[in-house]
Amino acid sequence: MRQVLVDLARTRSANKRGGDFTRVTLDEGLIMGRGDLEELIEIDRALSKLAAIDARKSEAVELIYFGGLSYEEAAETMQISEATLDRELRFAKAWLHRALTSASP
Amino acid sequence: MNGDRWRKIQEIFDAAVQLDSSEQGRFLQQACGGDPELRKELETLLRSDASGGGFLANAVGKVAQHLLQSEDHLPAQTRVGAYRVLRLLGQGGMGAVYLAERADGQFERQVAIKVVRSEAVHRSQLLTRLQAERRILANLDHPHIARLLDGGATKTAILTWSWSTWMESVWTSTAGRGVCRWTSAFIFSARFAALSNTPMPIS
Repeated sequence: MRQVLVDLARTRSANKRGGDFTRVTLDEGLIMGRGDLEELIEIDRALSKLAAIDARKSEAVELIYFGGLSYEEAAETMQISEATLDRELRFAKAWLHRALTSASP
Repeated sequence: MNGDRWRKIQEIFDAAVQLDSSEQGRFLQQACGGDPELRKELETLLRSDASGGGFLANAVGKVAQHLLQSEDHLPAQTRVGAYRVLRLLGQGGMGAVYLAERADGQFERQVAIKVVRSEAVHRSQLLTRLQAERRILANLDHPHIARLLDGGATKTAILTWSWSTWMESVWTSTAGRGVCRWTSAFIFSARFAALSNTPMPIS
């Protein structure tokens, strides 16, 4: 799922750069700004860096935020307690947020 | 970064987030001792922690929502093989079904085209699913049961079957035509539903 979304973001982001052939819809709800796309691509990059340091944290983020699993399901999948999952997630989110907001994480 | 240091950062972070921000300074002073780099690392992480984790759900949610919108709709007049799309009949999580007609003028025939989102399922799962569906359709040869005309994978995987057996025609058929057709039609639709709507893990 993460791959699907990131690929989509990459394609759309490239399209938007490529010119005006993308049909523009007037429905504000459907408009996805270039910022959203690029943010997701950035998140993906940061998540891959995190995976290289601590795979479990990156997996937790992927299952919860990209896979849409509940805490219970994700904890079971990863064979860790929900409390541990919560710890992993909180740290991972702080780490990712810092990576996205600073030049050198 | 080595594993010991990473674990230490995590330990101090875990303890620090339990404290009020007013207490964090003194705690970091103690926990990081004379390691200013470690302290700076923790301070930046705690600042990011305090700014909330909504950015992840937001960013993923926006792109996911967009993915679920009708981006991959086939507009009317789109050519799919020998057919031309007339209109959308219905859609669900797995994809959409369109009414289409022969585009080459060889003969008049309306068909239903089912388009399965290749994005919605893993490609290997999708193909297994389509093959199972085709096997079932091939075994059910009946005027009121969908007959597979053609199928194939393009950018999105496509499976077509004859229009005459779409559910609307089941409803408009006269009662006098017998229980058999209704039953078999429903067997088909029930089986089809089981194939189409089974929730599956998204990889």
